[in-house]
Amino acid sequence: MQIDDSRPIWAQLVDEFRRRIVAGEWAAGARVPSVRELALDLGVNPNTVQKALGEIDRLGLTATERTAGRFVTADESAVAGGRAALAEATADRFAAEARGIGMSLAEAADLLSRRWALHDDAPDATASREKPERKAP
Amino acid sequence: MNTPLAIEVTGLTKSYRGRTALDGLDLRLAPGQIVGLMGDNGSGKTTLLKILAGVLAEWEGSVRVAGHAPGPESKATVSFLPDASFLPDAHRPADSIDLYARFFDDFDPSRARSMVEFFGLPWDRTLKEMSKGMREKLQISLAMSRRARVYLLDEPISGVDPASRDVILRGILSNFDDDALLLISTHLIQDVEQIVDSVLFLRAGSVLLHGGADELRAEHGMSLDALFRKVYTS
Amino acid sequence: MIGTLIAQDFRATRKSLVAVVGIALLVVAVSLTMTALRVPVIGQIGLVVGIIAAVMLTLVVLGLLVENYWRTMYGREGYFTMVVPVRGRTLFFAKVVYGLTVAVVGAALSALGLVGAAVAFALSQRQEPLEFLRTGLGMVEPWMAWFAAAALLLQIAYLVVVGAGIMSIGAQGRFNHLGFGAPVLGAVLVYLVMQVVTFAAIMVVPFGVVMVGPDAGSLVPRGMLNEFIAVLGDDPATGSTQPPNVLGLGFVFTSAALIALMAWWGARAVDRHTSLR
Repeated sequence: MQIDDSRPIWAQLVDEFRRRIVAGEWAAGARVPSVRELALDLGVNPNTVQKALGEIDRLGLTATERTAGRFVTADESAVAGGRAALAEATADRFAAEARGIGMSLAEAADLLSRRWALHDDAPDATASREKPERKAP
Repeated sequence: MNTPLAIEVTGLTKSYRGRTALDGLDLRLAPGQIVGLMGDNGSGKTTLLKILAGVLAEWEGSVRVAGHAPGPESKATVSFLPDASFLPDAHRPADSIDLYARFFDDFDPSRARSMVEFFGLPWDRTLKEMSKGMREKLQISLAMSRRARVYLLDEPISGVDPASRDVILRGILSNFDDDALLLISTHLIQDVEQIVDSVLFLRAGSVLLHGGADELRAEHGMSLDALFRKVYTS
Repeated sequence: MIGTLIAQDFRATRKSLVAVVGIALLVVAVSLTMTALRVPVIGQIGLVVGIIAAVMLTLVVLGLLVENYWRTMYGREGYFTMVVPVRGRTLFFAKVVYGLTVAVVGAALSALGLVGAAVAFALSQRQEPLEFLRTGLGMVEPWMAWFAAAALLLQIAYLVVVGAGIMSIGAQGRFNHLGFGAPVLGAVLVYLVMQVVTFAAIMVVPFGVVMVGPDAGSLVPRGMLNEFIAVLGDDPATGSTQPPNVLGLGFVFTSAALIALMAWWGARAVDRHTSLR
């Protein structure tokens, strides 16, 4: 994960954790790695991780059980909702930029279907939902 | 929850033969965070750390570290890592670990040994035979293996190659006790950007800026490094 | 903690001390052997070298102690010493106790070396060494021997405590820009002042020892001032000049006072004025 120092880091972590959940990297119902593990992994301050995880809890994507720890929600609709939110944000960015350079919807859709195949090595969310243990390359 | 402050400084003034190093400095730092202490040369960073560590006397004002004025009680729970090498040249890593174990009750030798392994330091080489980066790693292993309430690290990554800096910061992060206060002074802000909770900018002996890292990023729309440059060239 | 500190000092200086003492004793042994074996020319030189080496042993040991004190308290190793959770005065006293112990041992070895020189000299003159020693000791009044031993111990205590005190005072914030030069200047100053003070004490303080005559060795409440004036103002017409027969011992009080002062001041300097650079 590339961290942009010019924006609040906790917000970027929220995006990253959300992405991991909807992409299935953090499988539904699975345990979320500890604050310390994540902090070391990402090279960031544990308090920042804590804050981001708190936000993910608030978004309903994870839940903390007092003794057992923090788990990704098994609630499919919550995850789907998260996916939808992220996808919408991505689509909004694309639409705004594409329209900004004067593209039409047809041109944009055509462009998208041509470029889609180039990202075969990206984590495939469909496959992950069927095989929760598969890790992203 | 009302946790006592880890560091409480009021009106701290220190002069060296006419030159003022710290000018009525006020500071309140709660535990459970990593604070970046930044400033140009002559800002008073090292002077502040030395006073907090109890190795520099003759100052005015009020200083309380881990609940005590700098003295034996504070030293028992404050881990200070100075800028330069402070161990005997003839020591091998195990000798330094033994030294720390002898004098500090809160020292954890097994943690120190793991860190020496983590850094890949040679057990059979003396400090004199080691490179600067290796000496720094050993000293950090010792400083971070004390279960202290306050850690004062003076330029732990300066003069060390970039690859080692990463490893050292990782070592620091992984051995940081969550309830402690870690105060890191550095001029390599980019390197510590992601691990600090808050920053303290010093200039000419007083606090120029003090705030949470993310809050400052949101407020100014730039990295701490960029903010530092902006603030210090104004 | 004092025990740990002293043990640490021993650990840190053990190798150097052993090396220095070993070399000195070796030189003493070899040169005195030359003397005892009556080797021409080298034997006579050997006696001088042996005596010098025996005396140098203590001086070098003291030098080592000074170096260790300065390096571990105010050199870069000071950054370890000064964060150890003890009061400054505890550090000071631990180092002084260690210094005194090592210095006394060194002085004892030096004394042994000098005895060895006497033995070697006796052998070189084809005299029986034990007889020689006995005769020599016979010339010395018992009180003089005790006096000499006490004076030596006082001198050692003086050097160690005053030395440590001067170094710690010189390392205070307002002097430490001079580095080691500050204690050097301090030592010169103390020396000059003590020369004057000691002289005055010997003259004026009413505490002396009779040196000659039937009550030699007895302590009397007299300083040397009268004797001194008498010697100065001696009229050749009234008879022969009498050498002073009372040795003023006032310097014992002034030395002890300085030792106490430096102990207090040095400990205070470490406690309240430590300013590592």
